Amino acid sequence: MQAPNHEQIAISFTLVLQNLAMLFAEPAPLDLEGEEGESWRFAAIPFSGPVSGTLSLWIPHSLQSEIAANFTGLDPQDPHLAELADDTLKEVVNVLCGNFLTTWAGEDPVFNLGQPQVEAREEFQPAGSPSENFAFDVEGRPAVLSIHLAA
Amino acid sequence: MAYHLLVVDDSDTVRAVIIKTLGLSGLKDLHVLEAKDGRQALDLLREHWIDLVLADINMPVMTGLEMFDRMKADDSLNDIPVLVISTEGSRTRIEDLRQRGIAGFIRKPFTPESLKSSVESVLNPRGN
Repeated sequence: MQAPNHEQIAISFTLVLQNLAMLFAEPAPLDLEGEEGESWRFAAIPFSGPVSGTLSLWIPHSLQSEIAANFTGLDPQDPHLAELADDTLKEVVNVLCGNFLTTWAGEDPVFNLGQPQVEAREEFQPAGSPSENFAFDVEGRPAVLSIHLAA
Repeated sequence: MAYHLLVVDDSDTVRAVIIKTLGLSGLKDLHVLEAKDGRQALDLLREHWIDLVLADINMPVMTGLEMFDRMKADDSLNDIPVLVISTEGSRTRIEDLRQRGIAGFIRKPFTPESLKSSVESVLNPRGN
């Protein structure tokens, strides 16, 4: 199975973000930076099957809040939004991973998805080689999706 | 006629969004209960009348598939239809679910229209 390319990743990322959060994304060079001083959220979900690996997503905190507001329909200032933000991001990477695996590997292989995890990170530090990281511009904010395939 | 639905997903947020989407879909007279995993769902199914279960597959404590298998093994629950809501896109897995007797499959991300269509196809297959 060939390594995924930016086009395959973009199909899944743009579709899922539009459908779940009503946000528009487009591929961007991998030199995006968030607002100075803003923290990041790192979400990851493992998958196993004919090929195993991990899909992870880096987004700035402000984008996480907007995704949560759009997904839940709550007002961006709603005090309950912060409680739902990590849960929402887990669902986004869950749907994203399922969609990406079908786009990349087709509809015949069977993959199992693990439990998604979300962490706060002070700085944007994607792991892996540059070829595993795919950057997007989400209405002026950066997002980086990484696909790490196990050897 | 009111219908009683049970939404089973480990994510509070996803359950809330499914219920909200059911409301937006135009389906009338729905009474919805919630469970966060298969075990809690089985408890609710034994206590309440339920016309249709909408369940995720990948859940801690008890998966949607284990819940479904236990429903099938229980004479009081085995005729309650189950619609699976999942990110799953594999034809092989979906066919396996249908062979097990799942009433239908809704792939995420879903729309109010696709959710309504799937629910109606189970609750009102003749479109009356």
